[in-house]
Amino acid sequence: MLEKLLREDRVILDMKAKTKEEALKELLQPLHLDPEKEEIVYDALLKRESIGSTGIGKGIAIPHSRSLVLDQVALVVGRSKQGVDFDALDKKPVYLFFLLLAPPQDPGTLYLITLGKIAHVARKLSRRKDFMDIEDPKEFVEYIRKLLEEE
Amino acid sequence: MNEDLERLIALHDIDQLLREIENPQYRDLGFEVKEQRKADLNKARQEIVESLPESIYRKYERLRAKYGRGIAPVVGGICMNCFIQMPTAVVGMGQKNQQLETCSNCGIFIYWV
Ligand SMILES: [Zn+2]
Repeated sequence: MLEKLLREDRVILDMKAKTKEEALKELLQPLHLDPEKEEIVYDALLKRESIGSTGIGKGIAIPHSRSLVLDQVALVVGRSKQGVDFDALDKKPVYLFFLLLAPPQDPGTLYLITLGKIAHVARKLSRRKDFMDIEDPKEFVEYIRKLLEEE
Repeated sequence: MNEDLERLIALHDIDQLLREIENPQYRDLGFEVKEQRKADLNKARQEIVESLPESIYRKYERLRAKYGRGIAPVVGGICMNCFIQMPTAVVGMGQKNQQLETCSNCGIFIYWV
């Protein structure tokens, strides 16, 4: 599932955002949602952040939400070289983002399983630094795929 | 998009979030959930409720008690609450979501995805 969600065209290697709000907006861009939907999804993401940051620490955040306006599960991976103040648990800047979105209907709690897998890969990534130097989206996707296959 | 429809979507997304953060499977993932902040979320919910016509909100709650949600998406012409194909040609493409509609089979509020 997660392997299928990883797409080169949904990787941002040089995020410009400096704030949480800008980061969430930037991460939504590769999905090309119509503006009305995008606003609703952005709002749902902000509401999730309002009850606790999805910045899990060690430079990684996993913003996530389900919304009625979405018809499929989608993942966007973003990397910021300068780091984003995301109000993370350890208060450190976030360099790597996994944005996971899903529709409300969810056969077999696929969304939660995928979220769990992302959190697992994220923890592995938090012990590495070399992914910060990859400049090719294809290579970046392959790098994360490899980590997934190590299971 | 119809304004009340937009409010119902926001309400649905909040209700889904409030339910999700109580889900043990979600809790196990270890994301931060600050209990005291849930009050803010409930306040945001209340603001949406107050902006909705009372009859619409009451219907939303009735549907939610019955189906676990008050509004459902229509995907590929199928209501995702009852899985019945919507009668076609009821509304033209451009008019979808311009007014508040319900599923002709199960009665739930619908949003055309
Ligand atoms: Zn229906």
